[in-house]
Amino acid sequence: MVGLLGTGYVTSLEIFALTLLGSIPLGIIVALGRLSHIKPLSFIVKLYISLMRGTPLMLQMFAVFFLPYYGFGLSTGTDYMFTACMIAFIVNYAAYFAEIYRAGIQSIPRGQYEAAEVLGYTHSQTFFRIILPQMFKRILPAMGNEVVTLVKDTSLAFSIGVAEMFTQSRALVASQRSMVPFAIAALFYWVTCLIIEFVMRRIEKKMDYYHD
Amino acid sequence: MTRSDIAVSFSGACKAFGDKEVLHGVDFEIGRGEVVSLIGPSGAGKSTMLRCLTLLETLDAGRIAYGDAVVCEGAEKAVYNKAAMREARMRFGLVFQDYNLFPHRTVLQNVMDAPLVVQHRDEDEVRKEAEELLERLGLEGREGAVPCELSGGQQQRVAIARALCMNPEVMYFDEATSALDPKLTKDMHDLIRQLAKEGMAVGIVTHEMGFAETVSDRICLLFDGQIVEDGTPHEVMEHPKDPRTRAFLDLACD
Repeated sequence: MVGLLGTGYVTSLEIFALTLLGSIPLGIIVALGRLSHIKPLSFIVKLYISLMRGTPLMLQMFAVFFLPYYGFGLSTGTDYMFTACMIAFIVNYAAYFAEIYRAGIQSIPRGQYEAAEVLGYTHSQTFFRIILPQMFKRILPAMGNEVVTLVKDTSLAFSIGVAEMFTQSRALVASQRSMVPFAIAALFYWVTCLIIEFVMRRIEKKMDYYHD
Repeated sequence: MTRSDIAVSFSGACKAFGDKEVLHGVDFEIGRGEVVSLIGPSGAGKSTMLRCLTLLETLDAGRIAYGDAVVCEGAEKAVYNKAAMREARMRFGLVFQDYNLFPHRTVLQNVMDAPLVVQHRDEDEVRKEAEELLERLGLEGREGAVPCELSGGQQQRVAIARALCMNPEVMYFDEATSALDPKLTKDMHDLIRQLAKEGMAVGIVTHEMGFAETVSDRICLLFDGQIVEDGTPHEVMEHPKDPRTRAFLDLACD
């Protein structure tokens, strides 16, 4: 039983890690698009963010899963399940992260941009050397919340049949006529969240070397 | 003053925000080795003028030149030249009223960063220069501190070092002394005079008449977006041309 839950847990962690790996950088690009002075671009990005936040992740996952078949008549292999799940997670989480980044970027005082401008920094130097590092500290609490939510959201992959921990625990509950697999899965999710909270606290403490 | 002695010239400068005109044809210049204070009541346009001089705002019409770098020109509409703007930013430094240090970086990093990444200078050379500047400004031993660990006066001196490390020809101070006690004001006075002696052009925006009088070679008084007095402190104080000057000085010197 623990073996099956264990392999499920590894899959859950995979979804978790790949989502962060994809959506954290993608979110920066989305945030920059959202803040762009090019009106059509910022409008399209706004629409995308609104759609991602305004519809269920589960529905988005189904959409990505079925689109090749119903949209283009392409048949997909069984391993497409996991790919569809990852696309949906990354694209969805990038929208949430983008909004956190945007709030962080907009909270940096104008004087920081002006100091950089007067010193001759280019726009990208200003962003990467001055704005981004300060934004990082400011968004840590909000990011922590989102990352903890992601741990639990990985269970939504169950809906398109990815064999992550919740899928496994549900199968075990049915076959063994026992609630214990659920209890163990819950414990796994919980401990994972506790570890993340601990790590986030450490990072916040590390960033406490300055305040503004 | 010959042309080559002029570090920055600002002429026919007009600027409006919406339909509110802030600068109406301002002519202003600072020579090398000269300290010029820009004074005037709140709302006269001092800050806007400084922001235009430092390219944080664009003029509607007029000309700005730093030496041979003509940043913008146009009596009807000021047309800016990007390359000249870049060049000009290497030729002036600005000490902001609230310093605007980079809070996430140490004192030494604040001073060294722009020379390294903007001017692409040699790291050892920049470090040596930064350490010398910090020592000159009484900040030795604080190189590794972050700005929030420093007092306001120390932060201002880091901001000065950061600007000076770019080796500018013109230094601007926005409200140089408004946050300083008498001892630090005296230090600031000595520093500015020393910079001028080394050939630096210094522009100071202030409404502290006492400081302007003692530190400046020339005082310009701005009223409603126009320079109404331009002369030595003695000329401006004793023989004002504009009737409003007397009333302003009487209030400012109290």
